[in-house]
Amino acid sequence: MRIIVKEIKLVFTGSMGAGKTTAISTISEIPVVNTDVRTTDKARLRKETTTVALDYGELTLDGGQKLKLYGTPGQQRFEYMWPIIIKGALGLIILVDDAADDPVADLAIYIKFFKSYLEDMPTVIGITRTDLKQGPGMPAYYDYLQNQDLQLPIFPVDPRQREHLIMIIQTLAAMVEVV
Amino acid sequence: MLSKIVEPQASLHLKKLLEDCDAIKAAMVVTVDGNLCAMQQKGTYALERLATMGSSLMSLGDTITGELKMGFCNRIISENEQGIVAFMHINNELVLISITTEKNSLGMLLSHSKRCAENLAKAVSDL
Amino acid sequence: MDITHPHNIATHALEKTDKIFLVSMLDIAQKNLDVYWVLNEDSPHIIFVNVDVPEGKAYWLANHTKNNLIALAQYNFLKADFFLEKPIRVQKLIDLLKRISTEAPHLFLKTEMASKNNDVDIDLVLDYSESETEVFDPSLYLTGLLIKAVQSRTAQRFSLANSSSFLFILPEQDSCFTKNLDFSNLTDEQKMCYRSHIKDIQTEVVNANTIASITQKQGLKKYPIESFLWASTLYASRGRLLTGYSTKSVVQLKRWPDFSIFAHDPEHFRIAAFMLKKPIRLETIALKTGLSIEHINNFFNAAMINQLIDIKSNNENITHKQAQKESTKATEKQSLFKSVLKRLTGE
Repeated sequence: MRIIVKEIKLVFTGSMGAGKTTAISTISEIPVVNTDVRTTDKARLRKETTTVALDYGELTLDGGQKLKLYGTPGQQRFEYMWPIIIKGALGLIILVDDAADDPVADLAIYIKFFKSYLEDMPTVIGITRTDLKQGPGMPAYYDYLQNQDLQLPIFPVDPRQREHLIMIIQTLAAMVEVV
Repeated sequence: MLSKIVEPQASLHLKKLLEDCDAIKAAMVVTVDGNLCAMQQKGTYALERLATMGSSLMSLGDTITGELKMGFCNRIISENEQGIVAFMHINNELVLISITTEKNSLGMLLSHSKRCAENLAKAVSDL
Repeated sequence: MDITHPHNIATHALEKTDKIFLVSMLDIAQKNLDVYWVLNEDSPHIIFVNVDVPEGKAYWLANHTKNNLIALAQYNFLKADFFLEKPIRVQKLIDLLKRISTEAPHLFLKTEMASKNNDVDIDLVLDYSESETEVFDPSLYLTGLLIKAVQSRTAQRFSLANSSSFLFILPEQDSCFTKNLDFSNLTDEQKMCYRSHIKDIQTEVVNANTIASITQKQGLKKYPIESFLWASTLYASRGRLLTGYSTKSVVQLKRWPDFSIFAHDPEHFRIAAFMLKKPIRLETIALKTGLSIEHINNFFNAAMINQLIDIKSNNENITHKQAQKESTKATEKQSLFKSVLKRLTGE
């Protein structure tokens, strides 16, 4: 009997330090394959290491299907990796660090880059580190999306919390029904 | 910022590399996280984006050899229709990328590049 | 122009100069309009509300679900569908009145005009049987008490239905205070509390200092008032829609609800996803999600009370029949996501 193993791919993208690698680690059943290297520029003040190629995790589903979790590099100079990684993805999760210098501008970078995918690919935005209350908070992101005339689900999330990631995937599932 | 600190030494060594080996048309030193430190070339190649791509590739190389328990990834060679590109570690933080358009010059490319990387590693170790 | 059936305009909380402006601008605008508009405070079709002042804003909050309000302000901070900028300009007034005639003709169909004073004196409404009607009247539940507290700007303590649950409201800070809540996982007891009828809620006026001291002593958490407007409406609706809406109403979410402050179950993400993408009938959402229409109605009411809903004209792109056909085809993507969720939740 021929067994068809389908691949399901979800992509985590977003700004440096937003928690993409952490989110993948939270769900993955294998140790995350990462390409983190030492940060050598001023970004070192925020984070000791940075992803330069991709992160990869897996979750085996019933029937042997694999959920493949990819993370993109966060820094914009690695944007050439973004379209490579997103190819064939079932859903996109954009994570933004609310405690960064200008998180709304960070969100704008990813929205602009992935705009052509947003119409057909279920996409959810997760705002991380809102608990630190250092950033503009949720209303600023709502205003940005409204100004861009974008109707996208958006949540404050803690990438260490499995329940939060389940909520995001539940929403992606709902978006699939609508697309 | 590391790229600025090593830039003078890196420029000197790259210049020497291109002088010593006719076959090498361009070379650059980049940080492991994709910042350009220095570059030298005999043509007009668009090398800017190669800094980030080189760092991604070296990191993937390290990930692959780690997965296979083959130790440290020394170099990655890309043999192409119109030339060869070699990526190699200088140390834990720097990567040397060298390019030749001569398809038969792999040996020259690697030996000169390896020597350059070793010399540069010594030169920057005290910085 | 039929002057025997004028469209009536009333005002609320307008300053004297604004009202004079409105009357004179209306006079000038009249020759460019097909319908005869007249200021009639007794039986209005539409009401201009000065939302720049607290009284007007509170009135808006209490009555905007009736959809016959026009926000008058310096800028449209409430993101009202019908908005007139201050100072009033003739051309903008003409454009607005034409838009209202075209986009909200139902406002002018009623033979008996709604009374302008829609405020419900909650203290007089104690007959529980009224809540068992087919429409949902928010003024009979915690929602109504919260709105009334906001309107009167009175700090209060609400003790909720036969339990130890309580809630402080401090309108000055746009906040409520209560014990720590997990809005993604409210207990059945908490849900029961938020659906309390007003006759089961004890209300006590308190001062802000008392609230501050109790909050500190008992470690209470601060929440936006919207959280409880949402929770009360969601659980008290029990499948009934707000007055003036039907399951055929075409609706769209203005934005994704902030579920970090709104009580929710996973199914609410699905409802929100359908309501967010494009205008859709409530009954179509029920059909497409397989959820009961009561669930959809509850969610709609909660979103409506929190001003998250746009009501659209009845020309949905996908007809109800088309939706019926589509719903029979479960897509491959859906089943893949179901597998992922099954694995993650272990259910």
